[in-house]
Amino acid sequence: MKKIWWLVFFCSLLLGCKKNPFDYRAKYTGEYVFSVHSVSWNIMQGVTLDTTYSHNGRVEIDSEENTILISNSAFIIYEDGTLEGEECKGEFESTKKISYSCNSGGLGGGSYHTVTGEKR
Amino acid sequence: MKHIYSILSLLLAHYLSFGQDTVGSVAHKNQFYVQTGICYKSFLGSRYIEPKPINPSYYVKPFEKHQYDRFTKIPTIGFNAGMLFTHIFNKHWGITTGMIYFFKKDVFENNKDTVIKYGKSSSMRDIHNTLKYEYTYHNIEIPVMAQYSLKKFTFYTGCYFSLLSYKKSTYTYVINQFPLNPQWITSDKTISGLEMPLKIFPTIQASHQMQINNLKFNPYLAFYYALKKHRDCYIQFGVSFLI
Repeated sequence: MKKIWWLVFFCSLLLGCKKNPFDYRAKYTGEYVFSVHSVSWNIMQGVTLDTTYSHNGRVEIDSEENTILISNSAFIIYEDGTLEGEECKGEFESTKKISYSCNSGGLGGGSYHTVTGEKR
Repeated sequence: MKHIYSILSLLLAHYLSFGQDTVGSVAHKNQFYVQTGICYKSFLGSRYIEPKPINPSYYVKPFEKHQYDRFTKIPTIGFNAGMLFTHIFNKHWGITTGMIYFFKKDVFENNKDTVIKYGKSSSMRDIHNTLKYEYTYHNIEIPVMAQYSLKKFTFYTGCYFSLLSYKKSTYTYVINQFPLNPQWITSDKTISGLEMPLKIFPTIQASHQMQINNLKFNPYLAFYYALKKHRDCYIQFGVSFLI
């Protein structure tokens, strides 16, 4: 009879998991500290802004299949941890470390951000 | 998916509890075995994965869907060990379940020239430039098999359910370090984590009862087939000891 209770206990552990253990994205989710290096420029105004800052953020599973939310921005995540976002590209180097960069802009101005993050 | 796990666990619980109530009965007999063996993984059909045409009107992340195109599946060696429980209904029929640790590997290899030709010329390592995929699985599997005994031979048919897996994935990439002056190098990345895939391996097995002094053991031969697109099949040889 004891064996049955162990199995019931095991089942309830599975059903009670906050992360969906069946999802390959689950291992990447959690709270992260992000370091951002941001450079933006405007040729017309002759202004360049180069700044570095860090912030806390979260990596979550998105409702879409194969996408993940990094600080509320959606990225396609491939099986190997490669990321593709709108004008962004990067990867999870491990289940606890992420890096990506984003470029945007045209002839008159633009910006790029390089982001690295580590799980807290 | 979660419901399937619950149903499987409850079925297992049912068999275990049923067995406990009938120990010692003449008609119903319970037996426990320790099993160990090695398996050789091969494939049905060609080992080369032909690229399939991508329907341009149907966008479903083509690189991921076709990530193994032009790769060759490599045969591997695995290992298993675990505990089996058999409930015998009558002279011929019985049911077997248990819990088995299974070590398995999946390897897909390509060659550098093909990756350079068909992959994306990206300086970043990513799935499009992968030269080799190597997956290592440490699985916990639950067999559920019907058995038929005939003299000293026993034949099994059923399925192995792979419930819990510690998966280690190693990706070998081909990377162009300098896009203007191509210099291709290879680089590895490893991702590992606990996963709970529900993989089902239909199986047929045969074993032969043997005894040396007081040691009762059954050498067995098993054939498994993976219900997934790569049509993996496993030939396994091992021994189970009656305890």
